[in-house]
Amino acid sequence: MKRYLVPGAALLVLAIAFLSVWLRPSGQPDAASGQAQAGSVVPVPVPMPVPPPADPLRLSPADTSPRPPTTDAVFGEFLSWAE
Amino acid sequence: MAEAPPASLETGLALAEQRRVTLKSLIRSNPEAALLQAIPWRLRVRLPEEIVAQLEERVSATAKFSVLAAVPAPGRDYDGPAIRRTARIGDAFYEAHVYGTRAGVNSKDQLPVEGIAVDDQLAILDSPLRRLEADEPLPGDPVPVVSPEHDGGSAATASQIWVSGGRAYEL
Repeated sequence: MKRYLVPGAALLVLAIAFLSVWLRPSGQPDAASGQAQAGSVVPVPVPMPVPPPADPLRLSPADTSPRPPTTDAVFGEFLSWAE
Repeated sequence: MAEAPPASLETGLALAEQRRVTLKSLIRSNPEAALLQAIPWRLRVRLPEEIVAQLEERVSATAKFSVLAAVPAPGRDYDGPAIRRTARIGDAFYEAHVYGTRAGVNSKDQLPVEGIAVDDQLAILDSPLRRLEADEPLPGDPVPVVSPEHDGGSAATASQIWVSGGRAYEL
Protein backbone atom coordinates (compact mmCIF):
# COMPACT_ATOMS: atom_id res chain seq x y z
CA MET A 1 0.00 0.00 0.00
CA LYS A 2 2.72 2.44 0.97
CA ARG A 3 4.60 1.91 -2.28
CA TYR A 4 1.63 3.23 -4.26
CA LEU A 5 1.20 6.34 -2.07
CA VAL A 6 4.03 8.53 -3.44
CA PRO A 7 3.43 7.85 -7.13
CA GLY A 8 -0.29 8.36 -6.60
CA ALA A 9 0.25 11.71 -4.92
CA ALA A 10 2.62 12.78 -7.67
CA LEU A 11 0.08 11.87 -10.33
CA LEU A 12 -2.62 13.80 -8.50
CA VAL A 13 -0.46 16.94 -8.38
CA LEU A 14 0.33 16.65 -12.07
CA ALA A 15 -3.33 16.18 -12.89
CA ILE A 16 -4.32 19.29 -10.91
CA ALA A 17 -1.58 21.35 -12.57
CA PHE A 18 -2.68 20.19 -16.03
CA LEU A 19 -6.33 20.94 -15.39
CA SER A 20 -5.61 24.36 -13.96
CA VAL A 21 -3.75 25.38 -17.13
CA TRP A 22 -6.18 23.69 -19.51
CA LEU A 23 -9.32 25.14 -17.91
CA ARG A 24 -7.92 28.70 -17.52
CA PRO A 25 -10.41 31.23 -19.03
CA SER A 26 -9.54 32.66 -22.42
CA GLY A 27 -7.68 36.02 -22.32
CA GLN A 28 -6.49 35.66 -18.76
CA PRO A 29 -2.76 36.36 -18.56
CA ASP A 30 -0.46 33.51 -17.85
CA ALA A 31 0.51 33.64 -14.21
CA ALA A 32 4.10 32.79 -14.96
CA SER A 33 4.80 35.12 -17.88
CA GLY A 34 2.17 37.79 -17.39
CA GLN A 35 1.43 37.59 -21.15
CA ALA A 36 -1.98 37.02 -22.62
CA GLN A 37 -2.48 33.94 -24.69
CA ALA A 38 -2.35 34.32 -28.46
CA GLY A 39 -5.73 35.04 -29.99
CA SER A 40 -7.27 36.21 -26.76
CA VAL A 41 -8.96 39.61 -26.27
CA VAL A 42 -7.16 41.93 -23.88
CA PRO A 43 -9.41 44.55 -22.32
CA VAL A 44 -8.02 48.05 -22.81
CA PRO A 45 -9.27 50.78 -20.50
CA VAL A 46 -11.12 53.45 -22.47
CA PRO A 47 -11.36 56.93 -20.90
CA MET A 48 -14.94 57.86 -20.26
CA PRO A 49 -16.13 61.31 -21.36
CA VAL A 50 -16.21 63.76 -18.44
CA PRO A 51 -19.57 65.50 -18.07
CA PRO A 52 -19.50 69.29 -17.71
CA PRO A 53 -19.66 70.60 -14.13
CA ALA A 54 -23.19 70.76 -12.84
CA ASP A 55 -24.80 74.15 -12.31
CA PRO A 56 -25.59 74.22 -8.59
CA LEU A 57 -28.59 76.45 -9.19
CA ARG A 58 -30.23 73.97 -11.52
CA LEU A 59 -31.70 70.71 -10.35
CA SER A 60 -30.86 68.91 -13.57
CA PRO A 61 -29.62 69.75 -17.08
CA ALA A 62 -33.22 69.76 -18.22
CA ASP A 63 -34.24 72.21 -15.50
CA THR A 64 -34.97 75.51 -17.21
CA SER A 65 -36.76 77.13 -14.30
CA PRO A 66 -35.88 80.81 -13.74
CA ARG A 67 -33.05 81.47 -11.32
CA PRO A 68 -33.82 83.32 -8.08
CA PRO A 69 -33.12 87.04 -8.37
CA THR A 70 -29.89 88.36 -6.90
CA THR A 71 -29.83 90.57 -3.83
CA ASP A 72 -29.15 93.69 -5.89
CA ALA A 73 -31.99 92.82 -8.23
CA VAL A 74 -34.45 92.48 -5.35
CA PHE A 75 -33.59 95.90 -3.93
CA GLY A 76 -33.39 97.48 -7.36
CA GLU A 77 -36.78 96.20 -8.48
CA PHE A 78 -38.47 97.51 -5.36
CA LEU A 79 -36.81 100.91 -5.65
CA SER A 80 -37.83 101.14 -9.29
CA TRP A 81 -41.41 100.45 -8.30
CA ALA A 82 -41.35 102.84 -5.33
CA GLU A 83 -39.81 105.75 -7.19
CA MET B 1 -49.34 109.39 1.00
CA ALA B 2 -49.52 108.43 -2.65
CA GLU B 3 -52.63 106.68 -3.95
CA ALA B 4 -51.39 103.73 -5.96
CA PRO B 5 -53.59 101.78 -8.38
CA PRO B 6 -54.55 98.34 -6.99
CA ALA B 7 -52.54 96.39 -9.58
CA SER B 8 -49.47 98.49 -8.92
CA LEU B 9 -49.96 98.15 -5.18
CA GLU B 10 -50.18 94.39 -5.53
CA THR B 11 -46.93 94.36 -7.47
CA GLY B 12 -45.28 96.65 -4.95
CA LEU B 13 -46.44 94.52 -2.07
CA ALA B 14 -44.95 91.39 -3.65
CA LEU B 15 -41.68 93.20 -4.27
CA ALA B 16 -41.65 94.60 -0.73
CA GLU B 17 -42.24 91.16 0.77
CA GLN B 18 -39.41 89.70 -1.29
CA ARG B 19 -37.18 92.62 -0.29
CA ARG B 20 -37.98 92.09 3.39
CA VAL B 21 -36.82 88.47 3.28
CA THR B 22 -33.64 89.44 1.43
CA LEU B 23 -32.91 92.35 3.76
CA LYS B 24 -33.33 90.19 6.86
CA SER B 25 -30.79 87.76 5.50
CA LEU B 26 -28.44 90.60 4.56
CA ILE B 27 -28.62 92.07 8.07
CA ARG B 28 -27.24 88.79 9.37
CA SER B 29 -24.53 88.35 6.75
CA ASN B 30 -23.48 91.95 6.07
CA PRO B 31 -25.04 94.60 8.34
CA GLU B 32 -23.13 97.43 6.68
CA ALA B 33 -24.54 96.54 3.27
CA ALA B 34 -28.00 96.15 4.77
CA LEU B 35 -27.88 99.67 6.22
CA LEU B 36 -27.05 101.07 2.79
CA GLN B 37 -30.30 99.55 1.51
CA ALA B 38 -32.47 101.40 4.03
CA ILE B 39 -35.28 103.27 2.32
CA PRO B 40 -34.69 107.02 2.73
CA TRP B 41 -37.33 108.97 4.61
CA ARG B 42 -38.12 111.18 1.61
CA LEU B 43 -39.33 108.03 -0.17
CA ARG B 44 -40.69 106.22 2.85
CA VAL B 45 -43.19 108.95 3.71
CA ARG B 46 -44.72 108.72 0.22
CA LEU B 47 -45.39 104.98 0.29
CA PRO B 48 -48.71 103.34 1.19
CA GLU B 49 -49.10 101.92 4.68
CA GLU B 50 -49.22 98.35 3.38
CA ILE B 51 -45.81 98.81 1.82
CA VAL B 52 -44.32 100.66 4.81
CA ALA B 53 -45.38 97.72 6.99
CA GLN B 54 -43.04 95.52 4.94
CA LEU B 55 -40.08 97.91 5.19
CA GLU B 56 -37.33 97.81 7.74
CA GLU B 57 -37.94 99.35 11.15
CA ARG B 58 -35.79 102.40 11.77
CA VAL B 59 -34.15 102.18 15.17
CA SER B 60 -32.79 105.14 17.10
CA ALA B 61 -32.55 104.48 20.81
CA THR B 62 -30.34 103.57 23.70
CA ALA B 63 -30.02 99.82 24.09
CA LYS B 64 -28.92 97.35 26.69
CA PHE B 65 -26.20 95.85 24.54
CA SER B 66 -24.86 92.43 25.50
CA VAL B 67 -21.90 90.57 24.03
CA LEU B 68 -21.95 86.87 24.79
CA ALA B 69 -19.15 84.43 24.01
CA ALA B 70 -20.01 80.76 23.64
CA VAL B 71 -17.93 77.60 23.60
CA PRO B 72 -19.27 74.06 23.47
CA ALA B 73 -19.61 72.25 26.76
CA PRO B 74 -17.28 69.26 27.16
CA GLY B 75 -18.61 66.41 25.09
CA ARG B 76 -21.35 68.51 23.50
CA ASP B 77 -21.72 69.83 19.98
CA TYR B 78 -22.38 73.53 19.34
CA ASP B 79 -22.79 74.95 15.87
CA GLY B 80 -23.89 78.44 16.85
CA PRO B 81 -21.81 81.61 16.61
CA ALA B 82 -18.80 82.01 18.90
CA ILE B 83 -19.86 85.58 19.72
CA ARG B 84 -23.49 86.60 19.96
CA ARG B 85 -24.69 90.14 20.42
CA THR B 86 -28.11 91.16 21.64
CA ALA B 87 -29.81 94.50 22.11
CA ARG B 88 -32.77 95.15 24.36
CA ILE B 89 -34.63 98.35 23.59
CA GLY B 90 -37.58 98.78 25.89
CA ASP B 91 -39.55 95.57 25.57
CA ALA B 92 -38.05 94.67 22.21
CA PHE B 93 -35.25 92.12 22.01
CA TYR B 94 -32.99 91.94 18.98
CA GLU B 95 -30.14 89.84 17.76
CA ALA B 96 -27.61 92.59 17.01
CA HIS B 97 -25.22 92.62 14.05
CA VAL B 98 -22.32 95.06 14.02
CA TYR B 99 -19.32 96.02 11.91
CA GLY B 100 -16.36 98.36 12.12
CA THR B 101 -15.60 99.92 15.48
CA ARG B 102 -18.83 98.60 16.94
CA ALA B 103 -17.41 95.09 16.58
CA GLY B 104 -15.05 95.94 19.45
CA VAL B 105 -17.69 97.33 21.81
CA ASN B 106 -18.29 95.32 24.95
CA SER B 107 -21.54 94.94 26.84
CA LYS B 108 -23.09 98.26 27.83
CA ASP B 109 -26.29 99.19 29.63
CA GLN B 110 -26.95 102.40 27.68
CA LEU B 111 -25.47 102.19 24.20
CA PRO B 112 -26.71 104.77 21.66
CA VAL B 113 -27.88 102.74 18.69
CA GLU B 114 -28.78 103.85 15.19
CA GLY B 115 -29.82 101.14 12.79
CA ILE B 116 -32.47 99.16 11.03
CA ALA B 117 -34.35 96.04 12.07
CA VAL B 118 -36.38 93.35 10.36
CA ASP B 119 -38.26 91.24 12.87
CA ASP B 120 -35.67 90.42 15.57
CA GLN B 121 -32.60 91.09 13.45
CA LEU B 122 -30.92 94.45 14.03
CA ALA B 123 -28.10 96.02 12.01
CA ILE B 124 -26.29 98.69 14.04
CA LEU B 125 -24.64 101.68 12.38
CA ASP B 126 -20.91 102.06 12.93
CA SER B 127 -21.45 105.40 14.68
CA PRO B 128 -23.50 106.59 17.64
CA LEU B 129 -24.42 109.71 15.66
CA ARG B 130 -26.04 110.30 12.27
CA ARG B 131 -27.41 113.24 10.40
CA LEU B 132 -31.17 113.68 10.36
CA GLU B 133 -32.50 112.84 6.91
CA ALA B 134 -34.75 115.04 4.83
CA ASP B 135 -38.42 114.45 5.74
CA GLU B 136 -37.41 112.38 8.78
CA PRO B 137 -39.57 113.16 11.80
CA LEU B 138 -37.72 114.61 14.76
CA PRO B 139 -37.48 112.11 17.62
CA GLY B 140 -38.05 115.04 20.01
CA ASP B 141 -37.18 118.66 20.49
CA PRO B 142 -33.59 119.08 19.32
CA VAL B 143 -31.14 119.74 22.09
CA PRO B 144 -28.92 122.73 21.24
CA VAL B 145 -25.27 121.82 21.64
CA VAL B 146 -23.75 125.00 20.14
CA SER B 147 -23.08 128.13 22.17
CA PRO B 148 -25.42 131.07 21.27
CA GLU B 149 -22.61 133.26 19.87
CA HIS B 150 -21.89 130.60 17.25
CA ASP B 151 -25.51 129.90 16.51
CA GLY B 152 -25.55 131.95 13.30
CA GLY B 153 -29.34 132.04 12.92
CA SER B 154 -32.57 130.64 14.26
CA ALA B 155 -33.87 128.61 11.29
CA ALA B 156 -32.48 125.15 11.79
CA THR B 157 -32.62 122.86 8.78
CA ALA B 158 -32.51 119.10 8.71
CA SER B 159 -28.87 119.18 7.68
CA GLN B 160 -27.98 120.88 10.98
CA ILE B 161 -29.70 118.33 13.15
CA TRP B 162 -28.10 115.10 14.24
CA VAL B 163 -29.62 112.09 15.93
CA SER B 164 -28.13 109.82 18.55
CA GLY B 165 -29.78 107.32 20.80
CA GLY B 166 -33.28 108.52 19.98
CA ARG B 167 -32.55 112.21 20.64
CA ALA B 168 -32.00 115.07 18.25
CA TYR B 169 -29.10 117.47 18.63
CA GLU B 170 -28.91 120.81 16.94
CA LEU B 171 -25.38 121.73 15.95
